[in-house]
Amino acid sequence: MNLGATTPEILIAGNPNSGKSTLFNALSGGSARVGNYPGVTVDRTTATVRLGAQQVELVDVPGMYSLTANSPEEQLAVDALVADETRAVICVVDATTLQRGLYLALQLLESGVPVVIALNMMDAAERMGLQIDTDLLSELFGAPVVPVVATKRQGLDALLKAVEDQLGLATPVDAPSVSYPAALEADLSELVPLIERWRPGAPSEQTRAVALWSLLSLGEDSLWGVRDSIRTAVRKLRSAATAQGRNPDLEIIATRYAWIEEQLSRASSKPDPKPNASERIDSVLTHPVFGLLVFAIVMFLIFEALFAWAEPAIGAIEDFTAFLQRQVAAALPDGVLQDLLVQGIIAGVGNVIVFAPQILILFLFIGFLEDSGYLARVAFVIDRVMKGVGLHGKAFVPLLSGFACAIPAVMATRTIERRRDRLVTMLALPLMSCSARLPVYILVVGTVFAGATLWWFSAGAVALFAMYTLSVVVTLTAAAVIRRTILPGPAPTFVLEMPPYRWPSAQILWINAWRRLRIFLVDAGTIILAMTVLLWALLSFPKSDDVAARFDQERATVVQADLPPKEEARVVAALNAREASEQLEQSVAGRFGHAIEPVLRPIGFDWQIGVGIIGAFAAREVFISTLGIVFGIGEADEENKPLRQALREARHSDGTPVMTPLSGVSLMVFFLLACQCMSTIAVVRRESGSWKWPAFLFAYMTVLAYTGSFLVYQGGRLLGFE
Amino acid sequence: MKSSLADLPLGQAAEIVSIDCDRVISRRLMEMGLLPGTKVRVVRVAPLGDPIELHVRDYALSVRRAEAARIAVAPGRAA
Repeated sequence: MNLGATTPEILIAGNPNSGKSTLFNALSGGSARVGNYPGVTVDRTTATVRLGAQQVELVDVPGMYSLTANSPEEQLAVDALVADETRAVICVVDATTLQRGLYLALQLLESGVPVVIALNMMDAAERMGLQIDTDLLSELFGAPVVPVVATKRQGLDALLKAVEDQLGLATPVDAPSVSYPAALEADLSELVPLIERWRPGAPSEQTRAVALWSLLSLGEDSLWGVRDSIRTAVRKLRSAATAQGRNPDLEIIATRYAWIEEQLSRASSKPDPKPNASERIDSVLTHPVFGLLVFAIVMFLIFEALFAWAEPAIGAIEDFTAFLQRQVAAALPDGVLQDLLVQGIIAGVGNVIVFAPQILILFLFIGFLEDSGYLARVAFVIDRVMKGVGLHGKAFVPLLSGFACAIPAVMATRTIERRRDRLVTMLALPLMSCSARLPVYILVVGTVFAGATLWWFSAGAVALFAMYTLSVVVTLTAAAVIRRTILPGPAPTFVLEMPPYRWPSAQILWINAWRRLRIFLVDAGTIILAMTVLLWALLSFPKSDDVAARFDQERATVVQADLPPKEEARVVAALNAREASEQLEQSVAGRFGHAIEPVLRPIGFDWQIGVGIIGAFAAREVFISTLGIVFGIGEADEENKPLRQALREARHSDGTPVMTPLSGVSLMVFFLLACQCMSTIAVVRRESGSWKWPAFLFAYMTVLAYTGSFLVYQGGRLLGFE
Repeated sequence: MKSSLADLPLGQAAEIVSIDCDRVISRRLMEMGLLPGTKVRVVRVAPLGDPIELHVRDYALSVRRAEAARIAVAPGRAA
């Protein structure tokens, strides 16, 4: 093997909340790149750093409590550990929870890879009165132990020096040899020859470590690439052990913890048991009354931020996009190129960037909640509610964010640890009534319920309230159904560390939020841009020369008529709008709208609404501007009176009105339930790692929307409404 | 009758006797340091009654009552 061809890699591993990412950012200086581990949707964050004379690649391994794996996502830590490029591991251990952190360190050491233990949060440990003899600990564990305070950048030079020394060693320091109970050692000696055949040439420590790992990990797992011979052997050994009343899991784990306790009894003092600041904070933040109150306030604040704080930035982006479109339209001659640039590319880039404010705001919030430790309390407080529908407590913040916009909300599901739980949440939350649906509701309500009352409420308000209630009910039901059918499996467990409260670093919050935004812009943004251009083409082509010629003639007539300039401009604008409308009817989307009209009739829509729905795939609110073109009105928003009037006057071929209160409610239900949003598709593609899930999402939501509208419209008619 | 972690009064210290959850959860709990003989204390109950928060090996861990009910404990000396 040519080892010189690849850059040596140094892994940074550690428990969640051990300050691992802070240390990574401190060492890399924020110059990290984010990629993907092949096959699984876990970010692979790396950075190139200088270590003495050589360049090395620092790899931020996802936080973990052990190397034991049950899913491919957990397996990648082991894969990274045994990879040829891996030269050393920095194991970050939170000095205030030494035993649990050293459990991971011991597992790493057992594999024979050079390990440097970074004893983080030494300042907090000292405040707790904990004394650690790092030299002795280093001797006992056979690995350098370097005290650091990652948040204050203390000890970083010593840490890098220790890593450099490890790389220079011909043979690594003696790893501790933990002796397991005799029966377990016998099991291991049966596995070792099989593993030697599976992984020929691996060092003997690694072979033994893989044997231990197999014994602990295999069975009821979904791991990749493990040889069948090893699976069979492990199954036999485990059932033999069970028959003898032994539990190999317990034997391995208990032996390791006992070994760690023994070393620590020599190298560290007992921490002071007096309640710390976190416990005092928690007695308020998870209090039955105040806890719920604080929870409600924090959630409201997120909500408010996504809606209100993001608004000026979104408005500015939209204004700037429109400004750019006008400038380009004025600079270029009319024609396909101008249309492509203005309505395809600039609109597409605008469609991507418009999500940036909400993504940044949500990730700054989530980052703050996560790094401060409160996110675990959010899950703790609300888990009881989420458990009922088979969701994890951590699904709450993404679901709530879904009221604002599914795009940042889908991205926020990455705080949920297990892939299955994440997928269920991601597939249900686009049913939350996002803010882009509101303009559609308002247009419909203003058209069909203007001035109407229901008992002593306005009918529009009742309809709006019903939509939001329905959205919550449908989302939770969908989650429960998906969990039981498409993604069956054990209900999510809730074994969650409640980390001590800490004040987050603004710099790291910003680095992480920015990183998330960049991933969105690049990965999802490309898809959104491509879809915008495609949609523009569908709504623009083919163009009818007949229509163009006819309107050219009409315009010429108007110009010759010598009207006052204002009047002439008005008439020409009206002609242009009508031409756009007729051209749209000739386009692929227009023809498609006509073609699907028989399908739309049973839910109370006609072809014009159908074209609007196609246009709305760009973003739901685009429904309104598309209808503006369809009805020959030109630019329109949800408050546009001529558009409302045109909708009220629209007739089916049999002369009955298209927009009735019943078809209006049907339309609202359709928009509530349908996945009319290509950006949602794009972001689910990115976050789930395959096209399979967005395709499923689109299919099930479309079926649901059609069924829902059908039931409303036909059911309503049976009950005598119209 | 053996008592479980779910019945343990708030604040009282106890020692874990055995863990009888599904294998994956048991293994996870053990790897996070909950082993027979480990001292544990219930420090808090969530506002809605579930989950509960434990104090074990110098850190706080929350688990649902369903899991806690399958962790047998014996009253321990005050930690």
